[in-house]
Amino acid sequence: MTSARPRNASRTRADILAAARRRFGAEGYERTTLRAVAADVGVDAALVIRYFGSKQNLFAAAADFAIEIPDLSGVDPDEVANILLSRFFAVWEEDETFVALLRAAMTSQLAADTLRQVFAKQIAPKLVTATPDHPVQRAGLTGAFVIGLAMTRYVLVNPPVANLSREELCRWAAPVIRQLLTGPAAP
Amino acid sequence: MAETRPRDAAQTRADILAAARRRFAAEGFERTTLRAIAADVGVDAALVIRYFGSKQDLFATATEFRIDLPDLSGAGPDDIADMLLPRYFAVWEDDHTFLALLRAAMTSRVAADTLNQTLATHVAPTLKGITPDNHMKRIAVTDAFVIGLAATRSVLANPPVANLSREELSRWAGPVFRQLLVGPAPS
Repeated sequence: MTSARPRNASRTRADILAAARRRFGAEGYERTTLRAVAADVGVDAALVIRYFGSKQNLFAAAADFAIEIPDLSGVDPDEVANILLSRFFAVWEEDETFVALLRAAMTSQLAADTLRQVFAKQIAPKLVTATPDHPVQRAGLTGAFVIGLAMTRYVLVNPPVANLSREELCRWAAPVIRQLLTGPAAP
Repeated sequence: MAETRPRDAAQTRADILAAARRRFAAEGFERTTLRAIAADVGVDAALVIRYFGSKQDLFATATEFRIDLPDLSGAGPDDIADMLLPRYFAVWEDDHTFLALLRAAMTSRVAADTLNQTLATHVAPTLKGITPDNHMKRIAVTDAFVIGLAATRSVLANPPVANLSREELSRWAGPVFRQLLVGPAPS
């Protein structure tokens, strides 16, 4: 099978990462095998190992993506929620990676570590630019709310949450994000 | 092996349920086998079937968690979080049944439906006692917030949220519960 493919390493790497995201998303971390990922791409499992090392490393590479939240300092509090919610839909509905990471993180310690790192390195630093005080708590709680929305809407497909239109969800979620990030601090 | 154990049916049932919760939590619904649960308890798989029926029946029994929300009618807006959160903490931090179900629900449709059903039958009716309008929308986003907090604290263990004391979390969550359940409907 390897021989049947053109030897284009960067293309193959990209194909492997795409296949890994689909597998991790559908089956979670533990049940995904390098062999299955390799078979999806039509390469040998040894090639996947050569490119990415272990399954852990492959998972980290597949989960490594930019969330691209803009700098929020000086942004009007009402606008902050809208910016974050539009990023939310982009990340969760147009890219299956994040759902994969969340599913996996709930069932695997290693994947949970990866998700915590994504939060600490990519998400929290952007969120804190909007906070007037208690940056760590505010960013953490906002992250928890967003995770809860994603989990109920895309993983559990809980009907009351999943049936909300984007607009309705935004209307009801915006005041919560606003309160958590920029509202009066807990007494 | 069944014959080496004292024939105490109630104790055996309890042992099977405890083993089932551990297995479902660690391995999810799909990968857990009745044979493995039986082996954990030292009984035959046939006995598990005799007591509980199918794997799905066992799962439903093992993950049936009680959540006794207080009657909220007449509660002041500022008291809602203080009334609800201790009950939520009791479920998501002190009772491993809920976490088993939440984890299993990440990778199993059966488990996700069980969780959604529990929210609909045990949580929604109580919350509906105080929502002034848009009942299902308010309850949906509240459920998402609660599930996000539970997952972030107890499963993902994201430090900014996991490190909050129950009192601190209650203070931060108070305005969110208040807004979502009884605050002005967003325009």
